[in-house]
Amino acid sequence: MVLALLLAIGLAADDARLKWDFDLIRKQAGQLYGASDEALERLSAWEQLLQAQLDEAELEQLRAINYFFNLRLRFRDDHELWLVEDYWATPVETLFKGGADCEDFAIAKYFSLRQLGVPSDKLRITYVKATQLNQAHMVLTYYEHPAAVPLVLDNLIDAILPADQRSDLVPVYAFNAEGLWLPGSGGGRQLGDSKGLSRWQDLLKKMHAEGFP
Amino acid sequence: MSLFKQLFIAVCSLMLVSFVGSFLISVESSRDQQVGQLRAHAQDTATALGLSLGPYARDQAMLELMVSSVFDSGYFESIRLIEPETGTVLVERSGAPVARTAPDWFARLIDLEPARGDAILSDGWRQAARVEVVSHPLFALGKLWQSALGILLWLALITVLCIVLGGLLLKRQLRPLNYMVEQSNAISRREFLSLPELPRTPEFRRVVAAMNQMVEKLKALFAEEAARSERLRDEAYRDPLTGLANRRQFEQQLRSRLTAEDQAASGYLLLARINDLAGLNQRIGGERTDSLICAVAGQLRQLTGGRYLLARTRGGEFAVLGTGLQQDEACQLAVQLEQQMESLHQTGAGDCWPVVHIGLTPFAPGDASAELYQALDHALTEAMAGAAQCGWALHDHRDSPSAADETHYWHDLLVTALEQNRVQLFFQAVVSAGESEGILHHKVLARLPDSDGQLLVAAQFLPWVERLGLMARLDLLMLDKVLQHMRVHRQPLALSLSGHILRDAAALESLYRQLKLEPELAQQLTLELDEDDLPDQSSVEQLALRLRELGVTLGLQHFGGCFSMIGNLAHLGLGYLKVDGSYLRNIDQEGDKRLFIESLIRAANSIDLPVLAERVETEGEWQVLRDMGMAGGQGRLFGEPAAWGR
Repeated sequence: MVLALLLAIGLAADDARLKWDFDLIRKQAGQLYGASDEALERLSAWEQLLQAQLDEAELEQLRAINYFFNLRLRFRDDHELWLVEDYWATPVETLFKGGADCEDFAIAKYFSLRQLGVPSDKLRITYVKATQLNQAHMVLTYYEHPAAVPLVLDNLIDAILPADQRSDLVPVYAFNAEGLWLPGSGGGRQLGDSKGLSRWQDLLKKMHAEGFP
Repeated sequence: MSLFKQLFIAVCSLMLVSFVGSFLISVESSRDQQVGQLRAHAQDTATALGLSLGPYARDQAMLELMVSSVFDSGYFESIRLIEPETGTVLVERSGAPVARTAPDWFARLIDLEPARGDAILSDGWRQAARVEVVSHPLFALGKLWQSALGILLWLALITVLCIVLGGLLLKRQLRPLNYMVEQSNAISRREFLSLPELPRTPEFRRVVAAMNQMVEKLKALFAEEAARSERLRDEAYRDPLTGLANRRQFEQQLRSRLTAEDQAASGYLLLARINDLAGLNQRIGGERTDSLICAVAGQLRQLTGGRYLLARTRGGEFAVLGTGLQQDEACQLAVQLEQQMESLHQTGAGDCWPVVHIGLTPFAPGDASAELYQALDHALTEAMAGAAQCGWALHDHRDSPSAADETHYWHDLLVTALEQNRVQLFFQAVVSAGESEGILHHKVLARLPDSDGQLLVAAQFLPWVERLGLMARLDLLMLDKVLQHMRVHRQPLALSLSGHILRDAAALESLYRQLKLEPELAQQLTLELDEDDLPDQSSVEQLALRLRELGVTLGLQHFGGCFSMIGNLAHLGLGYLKVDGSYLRNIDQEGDKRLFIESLIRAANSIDLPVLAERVETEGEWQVLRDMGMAGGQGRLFGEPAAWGR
């Protein structure tokens, strides 16, 4: 009985974690970045997308999210966008700007898919080298199971292909965000295991300020 | 608990609390820091391993080699490579480093969790393994232990410094307090000291000032009472014209010499009577006669130099109580007096020759005073008859043995007695005047067996002891016997000291030595000094100081109210005053004696000094003395002197 109660509370907490209050996000992000109509329109589209995809199959969710960001966002350099060498933007910042660097695409897709219920075990952010461009690049990879060849969600092409068909990319290093993704300041169970990635922590802090739980 | 101790404990506990507080805070804060560093260390290693193992993901030997090289070069609890799908461990290195940098109890107390870091080892796109790194907290523990030790050392140093400095400061600040304690103790010992230098701390300053004021007031009160008492004494016992003792005083003293146990003495009485006083009065008038009387008194005073009691016993009659005088000395005195009178005659003070007639007679304990007066009359008659062709004559009422024989006899007897330690102790109780009439102490008296084995009372042999210069020896012998007695019977005793021993530095030193050997007995011993036989003031003060250090009480006996002679009585810390019995004799019948005694008691009471009565003989006397406020008494009423236990 007690166990059931605890489980229920745990589930409730889990649900609450997933609940994003877009009104609050609009208000706080608007105050932070100065909302334009376009930006608000993109934000609303994202909200609708997330709602619409909530109960879809994972592969369909991957496709929709990949498509949404590749379509909606224009690729632009961090130099151009943020006037710094390298900048990790939150999904809201990216949507407000309407433009993104490769890691911004990956981040936005990662948070969207996690919000739709894709387990973090299956998602990795991967540093790759784009051989054709001869450039450092970042993609989101999806592993059906741990030993599987991943699917690559890339902003360079809209199609989601298995990694072994992406000969233009050379993987370098992948990391998972498990334990980092700690919505709310409260009792994330892996708080003590936070990775040394200070940039990821900065990102979470910024998202919290934007109104994410 | 003393103020010093309390403050000391307060300082210590304050330091302890602050020490524990800052220790905990500092350990706790550096603990957080260390935990963060541990975590970063683990994660950095995991990431670096994940990156660098990539090319060798399929080469088990290489994986093991690289993991080992990282593990061995740092502080790790374990490094593992885990196959992600099945969870099997591919490579594992674990085990605690051997070197210990902090004691186990400290490690348990701090309880640092090992920090973890992980990363993915990719084989191309495939996830080949998960890298798990667990940092060992040993290094952090060492750091924490060192910083804890540092804090401990620093705070301990500060604590010691605070205690030392605080202690010194306290000691300095509390110095007046020590003095105040000493002052109060001194007051309870009836020593009235005042601190000339006021302390700087305002609170202490006020208290010390108040105490000083109180002491001064007490002293002033005492001085006033003492002066009044002396005035009353003079009225009762002095001749107002010449300032010499009056007849009453003379007779009292004579009686003491003849009868009292320990004041007895032998010597010569000298009576000088002015020739034809009545005629002089008519011829030259009362005023010139008075001045003649004063002139004769002056000459007598000059001649005797304060050694003997001088009294004007009648209108034109003077008496000298020549205690201790031998016959030749007495005759010498008479001759000298006659010469003085001659010069007086030449200045025309008196119109007849000789100015005075002088009679001499010897006295000794046991003589009746009536007989002595008769003998003196006889001698005077002889002198007036001019039988001796001079103004003086000697009449001995006894057939005394030749002086030389007597001296020889006594010398032999006394020297042998002292050498063979034949002096015996007798005791007389001194009784409290309180309801219970308990015994305050016993007065020790000396007894000496003569050649026939009869016990001689002190009055019989003391004059000879004195004349033969054996007093100091007798005193030391008595003290020795008293201490011996006290070893067996632990009861308070009082012993007289003669003035001789006080003037004999060597004897005095050996007295101090003897007392020093018996500190416990000394607490119960009172040494008594004679008012008549006091050395100079500074010697008395020094004696009082030495005796107090030894724990011996000092008392004054045969006191006759000469407060001024004792000088700073309020500084001596005396145990009591014993009033000379001659002033108390028949006090229940002679009411005029009371005024002086009452005032004496009042003066002594003002410095809380008990007054005891000597030679109380009747119940009536005792009743009156108690009513007047005497603290106790000794005398025949309470029992004759006797050997101990009888």
